[in-house]
Amino acid sequence: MAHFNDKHRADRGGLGINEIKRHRISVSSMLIIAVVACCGVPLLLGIGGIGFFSFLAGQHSQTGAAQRALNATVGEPAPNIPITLTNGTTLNLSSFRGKPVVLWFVATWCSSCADSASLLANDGYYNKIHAKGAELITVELYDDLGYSGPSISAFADSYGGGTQNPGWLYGTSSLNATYSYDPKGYLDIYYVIDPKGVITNEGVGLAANLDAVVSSL
Amino acid sequence: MILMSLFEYEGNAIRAMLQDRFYALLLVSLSIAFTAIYLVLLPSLPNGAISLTFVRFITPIQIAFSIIFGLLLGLIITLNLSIRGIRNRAKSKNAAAGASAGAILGTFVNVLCCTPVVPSVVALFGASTPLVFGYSAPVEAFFENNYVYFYFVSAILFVVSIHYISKSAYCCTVKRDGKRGK
Repeated sequence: MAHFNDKHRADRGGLGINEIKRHRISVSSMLIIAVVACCGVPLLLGIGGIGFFSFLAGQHSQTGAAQRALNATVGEPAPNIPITLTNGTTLNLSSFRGKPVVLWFVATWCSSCADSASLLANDGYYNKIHAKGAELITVELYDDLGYSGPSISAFADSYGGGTQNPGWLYGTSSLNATYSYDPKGYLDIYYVIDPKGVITNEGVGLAANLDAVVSSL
Repeated sequence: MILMSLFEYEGNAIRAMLQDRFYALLLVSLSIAFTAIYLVLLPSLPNGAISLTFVRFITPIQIAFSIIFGLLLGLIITLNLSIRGIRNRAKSKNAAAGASAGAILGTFVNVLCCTPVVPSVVALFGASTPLVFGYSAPVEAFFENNYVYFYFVSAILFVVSIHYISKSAYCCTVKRDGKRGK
């Protein structure tokens, strides 16, 4: 055993095999720890909050159960929800029957939402949707899903070409409405609703799916 | 002392590598290629799809780090190839670990905002709908607002990788009498 170690000691520049193993393990461990700490700790802190606030489940359970029956599903009628527009008026989604609707839920602080709005406003996608007689409704998720961002009006002005484009409405939704259409808490989710009020398409990340949305109208 | 040691190995390794025109050209080519990949990748990932359409949304910080990552990755690969066959390759595994971790971290962080990744992971932990609703967004917001720090960590991991590659080639020769020397 001693002879084996001496032979390999020379080949490894004077370090013993156990020293090399420890050094290798410690460096690899440090690297793994660095990656896990940077990504895993914030994730775990967020998840850890679930246990601390678990009593909220009791408050929401009844609402959640009621809303599960109303969750938006492709092929089913779109749940009728109230949308409060930027001009202060409140409309029900059902008032748009007779024309196709692209219903798009956003968190106003989310970068992909900003990118989507810019593409809609500047790359002709809004014009294509409007040319098909469809209504584009951008709805801010309730309370931006718990992380405050700019108002939906400010979002529209910054990225979406303002709130005055015909056929492009901006508004906010209630907690129940957000539960219905975004039960998993996605930041950027859209639905395509036909003139009869039936959901024909849904997806996450509007920017990556604009061509598909336009062709589905 | 530590800094001098760090740059001594790297300086020797890079100088030796650049003396060979093939490796110099390879370094330039790989750096440009990886920079181009990062210029497309970093702004695309939050949208859940890789497309040239999203390059227009790249931020100045992402441009800077695309160049840094491209250069460092090009250097890692070229250095590794140039020292192939030189003794003490046992330490190249640390270099590979550093390069891999850096590459993963630098790109993965951009996926953690705005895509379904975080809500899906949170849901896997058995959270009910209202709780997923309440906790995935702040986590995503954290990555959205602090991705620069992850870029810095990635760059550091790349530099550590280069250090180990350089050191494995230029540290500690063994003399005929079996004693360690330089």
